[in-house]
Amino acid sequence: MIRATVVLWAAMLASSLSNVLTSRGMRARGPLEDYSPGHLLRWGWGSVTDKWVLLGLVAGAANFLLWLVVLSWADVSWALPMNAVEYAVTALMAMWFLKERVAPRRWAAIGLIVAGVGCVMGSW
Amino acid sequence: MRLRSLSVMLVAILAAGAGNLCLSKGMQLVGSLEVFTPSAVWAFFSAAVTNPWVIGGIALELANFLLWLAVLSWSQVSWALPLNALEYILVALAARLFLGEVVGPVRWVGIGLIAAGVVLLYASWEHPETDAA
Repeated sequence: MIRATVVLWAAMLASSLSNVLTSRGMRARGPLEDYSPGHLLRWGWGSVTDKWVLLGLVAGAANFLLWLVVLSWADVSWALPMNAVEYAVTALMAMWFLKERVAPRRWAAIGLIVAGVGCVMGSW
Repeated sequence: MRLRSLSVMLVAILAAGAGNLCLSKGMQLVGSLEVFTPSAVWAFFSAAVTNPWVIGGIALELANFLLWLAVLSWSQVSWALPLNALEYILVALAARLFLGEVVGPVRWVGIGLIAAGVVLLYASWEHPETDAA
């Protein structure tokens, strides 16, 4: 359980980093509004070749390999909810790096999620 | 705007949940990583990424990722990300049914608290002052 938790946290750090980098890249690119196939293809290609999105993909790949290791050790019904800690981490990183506001109600929600993760962790 | 984000997110969540079930099934077949020499780790990942269940799981996670990219271009990351927690309930139910996992009361309570947190996060989108783009 200890080693699965540690590797899971490492995976989550990579995942949070990936989300923030990807979000930064996608928001710089602007919203998807035209759904014609040609535009979708260009939009998709432009997205995955964006510098920030690419960095996000590298962090995402690291997250995925670590996740496979965790799944080789743990039940998916244990390991998956453990990922919810990422919401707290992502909210913090979004606040610091993307300057998003996190309202009090969201902090309460994050508290519930963290308490739930504690229960799941103890249920190994 | 909100309906569009929500419906694309729901499809993404279904793909992610099914993907994780496939990955879990595949990794149970590959077996536990217990030896940490470079060659053993290499053999482990080689076996993993050539397992049909893992490949299927990767395809579903990829579908989830592409949908997620679209959602990220519409919504703030601190709002959109927590909706993924719905996946935990679906996966816990499906893991019991299809993978024979034992989900005890403490784990359900934990998943319930997480889901409650998710509902609260969703409700916080009702307030426009927290939703400025």
